[in-house]
Amino acid sequence: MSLAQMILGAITLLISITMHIKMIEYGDGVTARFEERKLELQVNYATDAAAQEMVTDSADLGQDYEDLSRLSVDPMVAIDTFATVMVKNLGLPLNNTSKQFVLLEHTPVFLVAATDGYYIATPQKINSSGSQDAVFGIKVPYTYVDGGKTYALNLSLKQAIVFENGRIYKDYNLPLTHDEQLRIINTKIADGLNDAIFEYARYSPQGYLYLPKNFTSVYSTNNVDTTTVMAYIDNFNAGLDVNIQAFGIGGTYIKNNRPVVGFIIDGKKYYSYSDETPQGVTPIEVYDTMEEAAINGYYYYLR
Amino acid sequence: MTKNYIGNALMLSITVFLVFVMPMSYIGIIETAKAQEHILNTTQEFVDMVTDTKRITQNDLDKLSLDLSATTIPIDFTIMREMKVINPVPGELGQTYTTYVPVDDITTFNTGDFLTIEVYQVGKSFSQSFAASLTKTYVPSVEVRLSKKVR
Repeated sequence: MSLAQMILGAITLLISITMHIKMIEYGDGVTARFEERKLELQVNYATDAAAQEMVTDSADLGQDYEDLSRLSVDPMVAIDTFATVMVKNLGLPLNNTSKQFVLLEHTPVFLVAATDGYYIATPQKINSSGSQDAVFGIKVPYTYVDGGKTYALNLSLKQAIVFENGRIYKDYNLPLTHDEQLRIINTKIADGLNDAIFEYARYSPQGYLYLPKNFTSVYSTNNVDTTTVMAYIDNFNAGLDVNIQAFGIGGTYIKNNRPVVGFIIDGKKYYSYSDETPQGVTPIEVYDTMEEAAINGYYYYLR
Repeated sequence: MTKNYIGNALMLSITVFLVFVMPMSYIGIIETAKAQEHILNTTQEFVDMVTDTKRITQNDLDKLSLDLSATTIPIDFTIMREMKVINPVPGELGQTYTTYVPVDDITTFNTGDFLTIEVYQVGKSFSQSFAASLTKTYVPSVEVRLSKKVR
């Protein structure tokens, strides 16, 4: 074999080996990204369901007609629903062991932002024999200090509880605009979330933390202005030595239903929204939706 | 040029490997990447559609099969519906428990039901099997499992 042939062969072999390794790396990267996107979808489904079930399944929402954005929700419902949906998504059997597995191994931070404060659940030791459980901390209020006054803001943005010189009262004339209040509340929630995540990262096996990309771009999303559930999940394997994380946000709100009213004008059946009913007519029936009214033979009343 | 049988054979085998075998392996990996993205998008679209409309028609199923078969990888899927059921706890007054019961009827959904769709690879495409048998390249298989609660 001549020298030229040998050199040529060696170079070709080197190039082919490099290409092969590169391609395998590419394949691994593609798989990791695919798994990450899948996980993102799954965690978002879980937080969505958690936020919704929290509103529909909480024992008492403590609502009053004066202020519909006020909801007292049960965060335990949210975390249980979140665990259930995640268990289903991972294809595990639905029981308490699987739920605990998801919450303790994969969910370092679970946050529920309620109307007047937020809760954070983190896996914690619950007895001396080393058992763990995802435990919610106390509710952290959205406080804001101005002068001698401490405001406890809430998401209704209309009033706040003020603590001043040892007395507590409700203030309906806040010195803050709605945007300022939302900014303060969101800063509080973001701070709480960051603290919890970094507290976790301090004890994480790697000793460092990758922020999921949808967490780092969180500034471009909407404000937290309704009851919201957020979850940060970690420790999912995607291929050799690849760890993936994801972050999910789910929100929900209650809105006023606008009922429609059925009435008769000149012998014909009409309906309209209850607040737009023409004067002098006698309402006969009230329906939740326009569809129901139409099914019962009422026509839309065009003025 | 002198007759150099060993050198020529070596070069020939390397050439064959580079020109025919390696590209197949790369094509297999790239195909998988494309299929993964396509399948995830299709599945997500289907899941979101069903949880919004609360029903699955034969038309939807046909469309889903057609969409999923638009890749070079043979794919199969299962759709599962688990009905939300709340029952009293026997012997304990006022206590209830929530459970999810798999049901056969997947045409209509109630609020709170689970829709689970599993999409999985049932075989290998030509380039994938070529690559796997000749170069022993690891070709990741496509597997998507999405589970969503019906709103």
